[in-house]
Amino acid sequence: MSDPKDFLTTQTGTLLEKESEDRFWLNMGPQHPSTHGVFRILLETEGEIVKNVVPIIGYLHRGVEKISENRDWMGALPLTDRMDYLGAMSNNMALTLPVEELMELEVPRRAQWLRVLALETNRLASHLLFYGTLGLDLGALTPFFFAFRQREIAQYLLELLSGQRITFNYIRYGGVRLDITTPIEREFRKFITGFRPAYEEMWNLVEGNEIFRTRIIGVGESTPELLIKHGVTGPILRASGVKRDLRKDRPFAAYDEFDFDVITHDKGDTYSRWYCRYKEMGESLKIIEQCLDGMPDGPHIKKMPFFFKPPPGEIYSVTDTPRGDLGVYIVSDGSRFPYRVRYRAPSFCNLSVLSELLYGTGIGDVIAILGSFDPVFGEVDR
Amino acid sequence: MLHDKKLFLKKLKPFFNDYAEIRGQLIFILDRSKILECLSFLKNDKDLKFNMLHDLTCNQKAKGLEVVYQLHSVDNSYWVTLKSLIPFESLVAPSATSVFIAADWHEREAFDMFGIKFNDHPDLRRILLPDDWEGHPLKKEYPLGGFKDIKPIWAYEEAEDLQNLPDREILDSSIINPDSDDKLKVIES
Repeated sequence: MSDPKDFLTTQTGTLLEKESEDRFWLNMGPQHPSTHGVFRILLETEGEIVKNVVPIIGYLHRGVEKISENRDWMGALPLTDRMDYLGAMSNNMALTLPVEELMELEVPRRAQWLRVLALETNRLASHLLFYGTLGLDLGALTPFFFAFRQREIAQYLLELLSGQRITFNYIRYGGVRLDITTPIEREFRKFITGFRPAYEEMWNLVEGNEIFRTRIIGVGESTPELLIKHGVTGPILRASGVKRDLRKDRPFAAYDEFDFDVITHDKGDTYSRWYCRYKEMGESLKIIEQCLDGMPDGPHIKKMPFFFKPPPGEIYSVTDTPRGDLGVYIVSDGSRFPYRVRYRAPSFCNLSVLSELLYGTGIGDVIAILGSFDPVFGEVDR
Repeated sequence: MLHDKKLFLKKLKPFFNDYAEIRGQLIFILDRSKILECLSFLKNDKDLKFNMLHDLTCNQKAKGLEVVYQLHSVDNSYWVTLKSLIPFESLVAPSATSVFIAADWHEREAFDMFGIKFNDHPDLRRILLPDDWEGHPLKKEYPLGGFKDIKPIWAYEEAEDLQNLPDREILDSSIINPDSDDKLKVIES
């Protein structure tokens, strides 16, 4: 478009009317390295201060819901891996749960425990990536290497368990695809013993760092009311002091059998979000250890036909993923194919708060706040 | 415990026409005119405190689109589903943004995917698809390949070489359409 004003009007609707002489529209993204994917924000700035935010999403839209409607239930499952590709296990879990509920399937206890093991290892890997990339966003390269050294091992473990590195497709209807073997278990234990000192080291590396603290403490403060109003969930909500974790409140898989704490922090700023995710890694490690110690015997999957027909009905089920609540609304008409699958993606809802939260912050802080939200755009755009 | 059935039925009596319980999930079916009233009641009631609109989406039925609201109370960890049928003749629903600001992006997505209009929405534009996109993809009558032919170049070349090849739309619906019994016939012919 030739006239930039026309362009802005189409992108921002009526918002442009507020434009004045000393204001300036700054375009960020969609290919900006610190937007964690293809995200675009239009910032209206007055000097350094952000006065208006227009988030633009949809660059990674692949129509997962439409494709799912045209495949059978088993075919819809691998698509979920492609949504939140950093926490793919939890997405598998999110789709299997309502289908199992609708079919009233009894999942073997060992399968539930293996699910918890896979979910928590994946959560650990996801939070490690967050730890690394938040550092990168703030200009620190070292934490990235510390985090990725450990994340590489976690990915390796998940590869041993599921046979895939990123898109696992491991949690299936009725259980999990492969059973854990003794050598894999030994690898897990090796990882835990190696991870503990590294975990301490990661805390000491950045927590006491003056530059790191100045960049994130008191930046992007949010209140629980604001976050709840916008439907924000997960570590971001917990960082503002709300003790809410679906693993405790609405337990799925075998989470009710495990002993772990819900990490909260009271400030609701970028530091709190970093703190919550960091401490959650420790809790994940605790759960993984309990999993390995008390793994029950039995089959790892309930035998299911490849094509199956859930009874007609609809279910909305919610699971906790590394990024927040992933709600899945399924409607079955009794055929082999889903009638409707809807994913309520946590990152999608989390991003909607940005336009309110970024108001009045500096441009540099936008990067820090966005980094602390840890969005995955495969999930936002689906 | 997802809900307190007795309490909910008592409190919501003036609003719903019908209710259902599927696997422990309470679903209330309302008229379009009572949606906003019911949402603000659920939000402001002291015993229920449904302070989060967890999800808002659509589901296509024979006579219209069903708008589905998933409400969540963070304090009580209650969950409830509200549904309302919007007939195809007038695809207009009241916007929930005045009660829950979280509805903003969800309603934009529902508009984008289903073409349903939300009255009094502050900024009802497409959110995931480009502004000049034709049609609303999640409607059942929308073909999987889209209305516009967006074949890659190699597919055009192949189509020129092979005579009598069915075009893309027919191919797609025949392979993918769930309940068509003639799918094998089309591929064979």
